Amino acid sequence: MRYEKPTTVEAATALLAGQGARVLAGGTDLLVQMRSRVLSPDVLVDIKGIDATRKITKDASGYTIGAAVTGAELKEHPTLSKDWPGLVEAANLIGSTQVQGRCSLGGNLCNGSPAADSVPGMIAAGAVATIAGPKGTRTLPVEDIMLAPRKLALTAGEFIVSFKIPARPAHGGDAYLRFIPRTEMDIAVVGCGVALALDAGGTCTAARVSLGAVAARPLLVEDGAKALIGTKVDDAALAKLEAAVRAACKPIDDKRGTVEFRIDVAGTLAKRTAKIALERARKV
Amino acid sequence: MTETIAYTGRIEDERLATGRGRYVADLRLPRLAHAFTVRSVYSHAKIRSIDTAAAKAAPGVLAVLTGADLAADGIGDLPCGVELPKSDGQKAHQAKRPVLARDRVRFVGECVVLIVAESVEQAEAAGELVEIDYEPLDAVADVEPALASGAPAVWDEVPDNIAYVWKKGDNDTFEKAAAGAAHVVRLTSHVSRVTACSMEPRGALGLIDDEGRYVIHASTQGPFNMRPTLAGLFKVDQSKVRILAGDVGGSFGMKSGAYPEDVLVLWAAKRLGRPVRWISERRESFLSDDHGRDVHIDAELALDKDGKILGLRGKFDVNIGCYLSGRSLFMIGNLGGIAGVYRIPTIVASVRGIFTNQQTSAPYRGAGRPEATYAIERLIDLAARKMKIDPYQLRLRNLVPPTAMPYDTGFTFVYDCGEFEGNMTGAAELADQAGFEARRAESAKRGKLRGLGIANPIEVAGGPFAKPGKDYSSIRVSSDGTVTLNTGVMSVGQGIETMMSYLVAERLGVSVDKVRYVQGDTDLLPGGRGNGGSSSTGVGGACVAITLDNTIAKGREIAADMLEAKPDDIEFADGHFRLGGTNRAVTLFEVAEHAEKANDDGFTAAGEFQPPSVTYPNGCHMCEIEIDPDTGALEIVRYTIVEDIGTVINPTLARGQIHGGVAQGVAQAIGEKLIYDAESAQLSTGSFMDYMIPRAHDLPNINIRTREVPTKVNSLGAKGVGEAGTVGSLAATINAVCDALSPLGITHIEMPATPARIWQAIENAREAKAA
Ligand SMILES: Cc1cc2nc3c(=O)[nH]c(=O)nc-3n(C[C@H](O)[C@H](O)[C@H](O)COP(=O)(O)OP(=O)(O)OC[C@H]3O[C@@H](n4cnc5c(N)ncnc54)[C@H](O)[C@@H]3O)c2cc1C
Repeated sequence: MRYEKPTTVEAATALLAGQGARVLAGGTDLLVQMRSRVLSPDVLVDIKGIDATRKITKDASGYTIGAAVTGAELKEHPTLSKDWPGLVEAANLIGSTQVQGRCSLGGNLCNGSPAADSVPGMIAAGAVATIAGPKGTRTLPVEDIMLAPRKLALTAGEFIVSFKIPARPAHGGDAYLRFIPRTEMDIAVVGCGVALALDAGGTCTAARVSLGAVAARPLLVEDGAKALIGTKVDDAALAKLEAAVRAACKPIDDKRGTVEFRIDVAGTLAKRTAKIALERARKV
Repeated sequence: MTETIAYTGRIEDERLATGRGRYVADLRLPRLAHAFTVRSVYSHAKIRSIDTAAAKAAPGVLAVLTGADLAADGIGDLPCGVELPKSDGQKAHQAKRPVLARDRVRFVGECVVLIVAESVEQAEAAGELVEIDYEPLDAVADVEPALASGAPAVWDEVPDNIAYVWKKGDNDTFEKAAAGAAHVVRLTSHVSRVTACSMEPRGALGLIDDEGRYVIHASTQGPFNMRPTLAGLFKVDQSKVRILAGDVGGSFGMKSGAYPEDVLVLWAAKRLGRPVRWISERRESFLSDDHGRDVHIDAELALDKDGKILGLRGKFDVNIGCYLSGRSLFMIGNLGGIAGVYRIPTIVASVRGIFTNQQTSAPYRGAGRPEATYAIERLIDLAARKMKIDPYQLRLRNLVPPTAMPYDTGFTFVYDCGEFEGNMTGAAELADQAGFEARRAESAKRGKLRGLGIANPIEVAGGPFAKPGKDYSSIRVSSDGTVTLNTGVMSVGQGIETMMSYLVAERLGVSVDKVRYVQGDTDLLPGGRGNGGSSSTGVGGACVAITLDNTIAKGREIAADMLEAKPDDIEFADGHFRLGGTNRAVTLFEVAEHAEKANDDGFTAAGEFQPPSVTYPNGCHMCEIEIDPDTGALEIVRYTIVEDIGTVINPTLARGQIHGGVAQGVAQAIGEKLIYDAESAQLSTGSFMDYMIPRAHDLPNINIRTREVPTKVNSLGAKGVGEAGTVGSLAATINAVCDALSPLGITHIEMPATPARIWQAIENAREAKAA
């Protein structure tokens, strides 16, 4: 096995176009999988040498977050947690302090687990990935990247350089909650991200609702957003949100919780997440 | 104690926390070879053939060995030794655990082939080249299918899968009591199967020393238990086997016997003429460490109209897995605890060991005690609920008072002392039981269900009951200014090193850093209890106290010689032997110097202690929880214990033991469980991804008060503390969950009380109400 640490996007895509190449970001998924012999790549392409993957920049249109920026760095950023607390909280739920020093948004998404914590947070925030490949650069909304467990919309040689997060609306708020049953360590049974914006009168003008761990891929729940938009996010709207979320769930029934349990908790969690997002939107 | 030295924390912590501990994996030896075992992937299968040719040819491989090679070398199976009858009255089938499976495998993870190579990686890689041709057999996946008619047999010799039966008490007397009772409540429940998850996995390093002796460095809690087993298998005298346990990182009963891998490293070392080490991978630990608990309980409690207990009957089916040994009998030896702290006129109980195609089960922290306490304490709650009596009051009504001591429960145990009502009132105060209803109402306002659970554990310590085990220790005072203590009990991380060193330092009047603590070497003492049964302080510590007496007596003789006086006239205090009424004195270390010049032994003394009887630590646990009914999520909001462990020798270490014990019991109550697939008997919770181990935030701050009622069984007055936390916490936690759910008409919930299970119970209750 070969280890490469290119310093430019072009060098990285060239390496990645080769046989058996694999991106290495924090390695908290990849190295574990290699040690347990699930994966044995021929070339490890460490993208952390590329400046664009490692920095957070902010301008009027929002944030650009490098795909290999760590969870701890997201938290330490002076304004990101104020603008997108839900997204940062979701990313900070990954693992422990040690894992936080390594794990990245890009890795969390590209590992291809439907239960990845930061993904519903990113989807709710409206994150768009900047993807570099041998043929150049393209963008894709985060909800369109993971297709099925371990299956991504990236093609050979492509990798995610960064994520674009829009500027927070004037009265905007987001939140993420996950539910873990005690029988296991780290995998969410349900994860829910909600972002919403209010007008000056407190009516919801925009919303995005996303669910993790309740289907083969993280979901953007359009009907959930519709339930909130145009309302004051009152109990009636929350009840509609709950119904929309329940309808969207297609969980697998395994030992991590029965189908009914997951659907029920997803509905409850969505309401609670929306309430937190609402509180936050009202405060700014 | 003559003097008290300020306690400045655990002596061993700096060493252990900075990576300077000496665990088996830390040993560096020249020419060390590494072992890997190929394990069965089937829970039940015949082995048709094993092809080792490719593995033997793999790089770095030194040996590839099978059960046939073991047989050729005349090494038999691990002993069974169980004399109890089977269901047909015949003596139990000696279902011995083989070191390597021969013609049949009986659980997933059983050792089939041993590979020794220059490196672990090479051994593991060669393991993948071994081809084993299996003929799968129907598996006995659990107790219920094991007992079903027409079930496959784990052992052909035991067609009904019942390994042993045991009974005590008179069933007719119980039937009569029940017939005349106002209330009879029944508990059918399963105490789940769990695994110890020791922080240091099992491991062993075998070598043959210059004298040709078998030497094993092992991660074990029972060096002196292991020695006869290994000597027997290698057909040598016990003096030809030396067991060395260095630092051990957790054991909990799981490391109390000899395992196949212990035999394998010694056998391979003998064959290869090189030291051989095996260290368990975590995934191997899940499969191949002896499992704990897994007891199906069917118990009844009869009470009169005022709530006075009239009788108790309990049936316990223990899933012992696929092999039988003395370790499979944990439920019997410690079952006496079902009498609880109550007057129960008639108790009858039976225990059956059931074979399944699962890993063998063995003692696990508490070893039958938590199960026994769980049975009686759940029954009392069920009765209280049925009779609409406050569970606290119902307990008070039935307590054995201090005036009744010593108290014969009529079911094995005779309690020497205890003030049970004091435990309860103390816990009620500390837990602010009076304020509970207000807290419950406040939770309800937030949409939460709050519950309070009580348990009064009492457990046997320093046993076994029939004949407590003996411990040995020795002390050497050296002219270099040190005191070396060898103990027969041992630390597996609890701080025994500290506790013992302070005992020695205080008594001999030296500073703690002058005491060298040595444990776990079978060459140094005639025997020793190792670790287990909450006996390190009550038996081991008391033994050290005796050895200290002997040391001082010996010192007085030598000092008398030095001071030309009679030993009787010599007084010992503050590290000095003084001729009474004079200022003529010699120090402890001057005495050592004198002795070293006079004879080879120097200033040494030994001691032994066999307690005349066992002790009974007891207490009252109160667990307060809050449930989110929408998700089933549970939070333990308060945990309070008043525990009578007799005289407390070191409060910090005692609390640490109680904390850890509670964590283990609570974790089992709310999440830990090994699950085997119902068809294939494959372990489906074989990693920390699937097996819940509690995190700090799963546990509350534990409020502990000790209440010292010293025992007279040993000179220290100590009753033992290692298991106390676990014994009460299973019952207290489940009682709390049931209390919280009781407004919904839910009377019982099985452990682990996971969110999904609680949610389901709530759903079912709501549906039942709606219907
Ligand atoms: C102890 C522990 C606890 C954990 N707990 C959680 C948890 O609570 N929640 C959770 O969601 N996850 C958890 N994880 C999983 C893991 O930490 C996260 O998924 C993490 O975000 C992965 O990021 P990484 O940078 O370490 O990815 P890596 O391991 O470096 O990469 C993961 C995968 O993504 C690919 N990849 C990485 N970056 C890119 C990129 N920019 N473009 C294309 N492909 C890429 C890699 O090739 C690899 O296949 C845990 C892991 C551990 C070890």
